Amino acid sequence: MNKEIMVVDDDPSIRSTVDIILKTSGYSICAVESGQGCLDRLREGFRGLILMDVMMPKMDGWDTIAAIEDEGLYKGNVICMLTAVHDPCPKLEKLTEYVMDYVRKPFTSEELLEVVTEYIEYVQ
Amino acid sequence: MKVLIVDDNTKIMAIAEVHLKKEGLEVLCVEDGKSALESARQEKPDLILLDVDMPDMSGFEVCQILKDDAELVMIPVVFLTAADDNKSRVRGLDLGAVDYVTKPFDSFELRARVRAALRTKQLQDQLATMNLELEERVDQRTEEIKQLLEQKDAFVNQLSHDLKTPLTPLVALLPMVAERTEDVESKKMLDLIMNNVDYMRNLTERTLQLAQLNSPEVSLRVEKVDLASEIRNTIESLSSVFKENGIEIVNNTTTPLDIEADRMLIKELIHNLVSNTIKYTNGDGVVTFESFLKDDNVEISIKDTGIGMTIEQQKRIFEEFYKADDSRTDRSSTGLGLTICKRIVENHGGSIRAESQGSGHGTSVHFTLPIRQSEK
Repeated sequence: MNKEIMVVDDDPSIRSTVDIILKTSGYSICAVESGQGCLDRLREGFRGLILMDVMMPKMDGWDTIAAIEDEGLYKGNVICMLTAVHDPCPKLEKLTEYVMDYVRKPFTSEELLEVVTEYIEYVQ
Repeated sequence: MKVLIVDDNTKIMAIAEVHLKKEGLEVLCVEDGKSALESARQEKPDLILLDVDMPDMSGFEVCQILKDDAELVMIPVVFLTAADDNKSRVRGLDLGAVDYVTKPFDSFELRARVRAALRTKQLQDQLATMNLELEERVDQRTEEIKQLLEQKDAFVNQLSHDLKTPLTPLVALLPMVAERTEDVESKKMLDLIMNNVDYMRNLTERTLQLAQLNSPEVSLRVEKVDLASEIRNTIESLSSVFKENGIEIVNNTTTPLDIEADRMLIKELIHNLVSNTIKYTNGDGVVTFESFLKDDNVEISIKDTGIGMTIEQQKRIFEEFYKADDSRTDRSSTGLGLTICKRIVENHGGSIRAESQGSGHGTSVHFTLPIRQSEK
């Protein structure tokens, strides 16, 4: 089965970077620039691994996860966070159970691929 | 200004009152020591003219009580003494009086002595006010500086975060480009670029770390940590690097060395210090680890046989961005590693120092950490 990956990041260079690395390794990937975009894709039936930026305008990564859970769209997906922040945010406490792992920026292609190959297995 | 006259002889008191009123002073009169103290507390006079010889409570006793009272000590006392009584004058001055007037007094002398004592009192009051103002200003300025420093840390924090995003494509994609490049010259250029990107990445990480260690909001995550096993793990994880560099390890630390500390920070501390010994010890060196228990502290010393330090270097080695080899172009060092070590140790309530017998004679770093962290 061809499992998809979605990258959610407001920064176009991060989206492109992830896109290039993962396409080069043969994954199919879609890139969206906001939490809203991520929800739209999930409503359309996306199932796969979601790489989610934490700090985004309007709806940050945690708000997005809360909304995914609210709409019952979490099932079958796996979420990993892309983050530049070390400290846990207070919002995170209730939501950590939805997050499999963290990829810290700046990441190398090896670091990204390691997380992707490990967690894509969990996508149902 | 207000003067309190204390004398059981009402006749003398009346005369003095007239003279002092001529000076434009407000005058209060009481006839015994007890009333004098009451009046001093209530009226806070600027001067007390105090008779030595009084029944019940002598002027000396009154003066003693005044000088022992923090609220009254600043009120100057001028004694009224008998003309031939040298001993009393000396005793009065020793008790803290500023002056004396002998009875029977010359009215001009009395007025002049009171004026002089009041002038001194006025200057004293001014000085006290200025002192208070100065303290307030220092407090205010200290607060301002504290806020500026916090702003600086917040700025550095933000900047380091913001740099991480644009660094990502560089860190992730440059190696991929390098892999696809056949041209030797281009490969060289890419290596140079990647080297510098790595340096930027380190610098960003380290700067952020330091800002967080400086921040009062980020507290230690304290748990039980065995220093000895942390040291052992670090040595093991770097064993191949030690071997490559021809460095022999002598680990004399006793085990276990349980302390209350932030595990991640302790790992960072030990890793930084051990990496330094590798960097500054050239082939065939020895690095020795020792531990000592001192009261409620553990001291660890890490001694190498490396290049050592000059006295100047020893003084500055923990400064931010200081590089011992003085080469600003050294891309393997950010100049922040030891500053971070110092901050980690100090945040735990410990201390760190580096010693060397001089250039070429090796370096030893000693750090002390308390076994228990006090509740905050």
